[in-house]
Amino acid sequence: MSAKKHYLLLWAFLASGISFAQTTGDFYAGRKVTILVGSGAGGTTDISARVLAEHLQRHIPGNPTIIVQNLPGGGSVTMTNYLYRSAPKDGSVLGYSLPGIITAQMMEPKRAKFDGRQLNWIGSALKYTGVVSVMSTAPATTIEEAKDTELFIGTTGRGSPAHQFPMMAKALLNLKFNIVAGYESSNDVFFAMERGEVHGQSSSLQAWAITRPGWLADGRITHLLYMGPPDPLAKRGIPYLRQLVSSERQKALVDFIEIGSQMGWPLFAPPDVPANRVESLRKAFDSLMSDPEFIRAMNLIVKAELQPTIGSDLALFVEKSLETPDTILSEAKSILGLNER
Amino acid sequence: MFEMALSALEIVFDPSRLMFVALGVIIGLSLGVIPGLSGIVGLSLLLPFTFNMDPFTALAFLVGLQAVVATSDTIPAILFGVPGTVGSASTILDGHPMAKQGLAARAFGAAFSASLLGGLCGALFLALSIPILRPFILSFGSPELLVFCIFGLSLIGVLSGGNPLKGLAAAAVGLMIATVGEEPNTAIERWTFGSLYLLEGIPLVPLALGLFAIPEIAEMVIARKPMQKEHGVATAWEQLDGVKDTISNFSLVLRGSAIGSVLGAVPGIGAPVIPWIAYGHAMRTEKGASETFGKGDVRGVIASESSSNAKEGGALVSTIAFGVPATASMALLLGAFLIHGLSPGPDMLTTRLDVTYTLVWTVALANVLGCGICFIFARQLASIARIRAGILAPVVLSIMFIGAFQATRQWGDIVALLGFGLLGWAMKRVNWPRPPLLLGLVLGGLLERYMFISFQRYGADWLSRPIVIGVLLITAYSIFKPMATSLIKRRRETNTRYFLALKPRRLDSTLWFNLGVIAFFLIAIVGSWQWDFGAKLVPQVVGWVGLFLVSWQLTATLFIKTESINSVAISKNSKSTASHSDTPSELDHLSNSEITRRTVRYFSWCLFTLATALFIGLLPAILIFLIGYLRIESKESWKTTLTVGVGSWSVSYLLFHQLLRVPWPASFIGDLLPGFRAIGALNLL
Repeated sequence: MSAKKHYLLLWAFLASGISFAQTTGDFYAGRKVTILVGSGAGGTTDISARVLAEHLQRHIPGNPTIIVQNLPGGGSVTMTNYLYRSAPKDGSVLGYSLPGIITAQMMEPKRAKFDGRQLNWIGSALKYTGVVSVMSTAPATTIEEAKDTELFIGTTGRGSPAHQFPMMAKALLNLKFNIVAGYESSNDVFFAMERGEVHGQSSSLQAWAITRPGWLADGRITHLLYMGPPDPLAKRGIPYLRQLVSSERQKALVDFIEIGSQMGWPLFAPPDVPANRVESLRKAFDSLMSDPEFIRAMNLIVKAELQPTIGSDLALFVEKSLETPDTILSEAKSILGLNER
Repeated sequence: MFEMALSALEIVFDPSRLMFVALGVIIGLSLGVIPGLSGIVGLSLLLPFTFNMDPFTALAFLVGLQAVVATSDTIPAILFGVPGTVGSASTILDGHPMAKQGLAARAFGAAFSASLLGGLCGALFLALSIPILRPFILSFGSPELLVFCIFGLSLIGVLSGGNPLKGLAAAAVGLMIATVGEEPNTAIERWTFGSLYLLEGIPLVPLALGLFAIPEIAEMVIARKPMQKEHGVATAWEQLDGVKDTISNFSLVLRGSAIGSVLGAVPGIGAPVIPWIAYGHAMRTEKGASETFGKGDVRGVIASESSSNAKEGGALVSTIAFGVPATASMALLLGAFLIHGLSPGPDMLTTRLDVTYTLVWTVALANVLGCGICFIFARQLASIARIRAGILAPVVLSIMFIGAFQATRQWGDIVALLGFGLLGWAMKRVNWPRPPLLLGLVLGGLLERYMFISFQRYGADWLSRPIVIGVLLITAYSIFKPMATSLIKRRRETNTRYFLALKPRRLDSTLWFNLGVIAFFLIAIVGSWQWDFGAKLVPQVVGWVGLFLVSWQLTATLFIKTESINSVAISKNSKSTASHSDTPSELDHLSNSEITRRTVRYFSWCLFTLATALFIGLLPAILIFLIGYLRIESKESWKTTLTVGVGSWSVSYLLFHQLLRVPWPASFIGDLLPGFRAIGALNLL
């Protein structure tokens, strides 16, 4: 073949995106990997992503540099949509989302233009323990009291998990929550609690530990109830939502909103990434979970214990979750007031 | 307290830390200059590098970066009328006319010295008030923030000068635009048309860039004259004139600084509004300001800049003391604190006061360095205003395209930029003031949120809270006093005899614009009719009020008042105050049809760039735009075209693609040929 044809062939290869047979180490050596975080800067999601990125670099063959970028919006839906459609599909761009991303796929089908079954799940380091917590000076500090006395619970917006958990708890347990929605972010709700404007809010245990560790220690706040994996709150005698409901239907609803809790903050790659690369990433993630420096950093900075889920288990969990029956789905939507979507 | 302050000073002046502060300052200055980029870009890029530093150094570095963005964002504001960050929009009103008059160096001198003094006074003020800061800030609940928004809206009256009706109507438009997005109480999506882009509302940066900057560039292009209309090279000492201006207006600097630092420290007030509050205050209190502000009065620049820098210090303290970040940059800074093991909260004002003071000193030091650097280059910067329009326009436009895109990194950003650019241009042509629209937008979202929270939480009781009553009284006073004074003045000066005569008006652009705004409000009213109460309250109220205002305004233009002779004096006065809060027009030497033709060409170029970008990607399209515009529109030689076009494009490529690793949006060709996306250097599609 003439030189010109060689040249054309090369461009044809490039254009069609066929990757040359190369090992993962070859691919990642000297490369920059981007982790897109589906939230704004500075919160639990963002901080845990940055700690993860810092330490994961050592475990991926080829030791690429990992940088973190924020792509907030729609509860990580914006980021996941972008990753699904526009990001390079070679494993150089990964996504790190909020816990509720699969729930969002089911409840907002018009807006969530991705399919969790197609995403390549790499793993999750944490689980999300959602707690509804009130100031200890609030008029009601136990579930029983909250059935009779009104409590002002601050939330951001109807679409957020911080809103959905108290709404669901209110509906299932007949609690007298007066939900004050509209705060800009959960930081603003913390502040509103300090000012006495609201009595409490729903957040994650990790968020409390990171932003207001003093409050946990000195008893300024009391946890009313929690959802998600039982440790470490079960020992402290804090009520667990799933145990407080009795009927099958109610338990199914709780399971539904706990999907995010079980997934924690997942790391994933877009569809069509070569299988050997996904495998290497999963292996790297697994070995990261036993890395003592990483564990220490997570304890120190994110104030969290690791509760890892490996990539293949995550994928199976996603498959199962996406099979939630429509009856449960529509009932959840109506309790949460999300019928317009 | 003083011992801690002094020991913190020692910590800051450690040489290796100083180096990092200086580095942070240089990076921060560079980021502020580029429209659309703000501290957050630098912070998120550099945060990982700080992991291995000790907390003091890391935070000094990051805080130094953040503190000076508000200094350099003045540069494009004065030179091009392009806000470097949204906070500098108020500087445009007087800074840009000064540049057009050949006084850019002086404006810079005033701006940088006002920034410096404002920042320093702010830092000092905060350092002294730390003991009472917590109780003060804690007394600001949602009701207090609500009435503050109302107070902010009252500024519209001042900022629309002789056109209160237009100003209020523009503000109503802004308030309406603020309702786009997901309503938090009902989860109803208002006017999102199913798009994810509009879910969070229309982002501020493309809107501000479009509203203010695109029309300024348009005017430069259409007039075919450089930015600086009068020729004259700035002398070496012209910036010192600016410094003298600042010093002679020192009380204004102090007031601006107080407003900036106090309000900046209250979380949730809406940082972009604060410089406007200072500007509005200056307009009301300075002698003769209502005549000269908006035309190049250096005091407008001084008020804006001193408050803008001071608010950074205030925002920092409230981020540290309460963990409530006012902006996204502050949120990242907060994350940095947490990563380095410092928990924001009362501790930072008591046991860890050493850290807080270190940061206050860093802010002060960064301000000195930043303003110093900018000041030294003021003359060189000022000479940019003399570059011919044919070269300057496409380069600035290309930067704006990319800068606007940084808002949410979706195509919608560019669409918003151009859409609001068109609106801004139309408003400029028909003499509608634009600042009220921006204010309405920023305050609208906050207003609605605080209103619902206040009612949900307190019923109607919130109206009886002391601060609420106080602020409402101040607002009422500031609205009604000027009205009362002018009414009394008129009474004295005239035998009131007004004749109303309906003169037939051509269907000119003013009429079309008014009709367009009326249609806008009608659509909004009809569109929101069906929604639940929570979602429709604000759109309905704003819609009806806006409709009323525009209709009144339209009627006023259709009828021409013929007045008795004694009132000729009044009409002379009112002409000179006509829309003085908006930049005066330079196109009077051209015919209307010529203006229209050139406008169409200008916007066609913009649309062409957008269409090309959708096809082959944003950065490639910008290259085509640059070369095409320079060659075809500006008729530059090939040598100039390639040097300027390829040169500035390469800088953008290196900065945005290689350094900042911007995730470019998906284009048509990119979807067709995904292979390109696999190659790092070419992943532009």
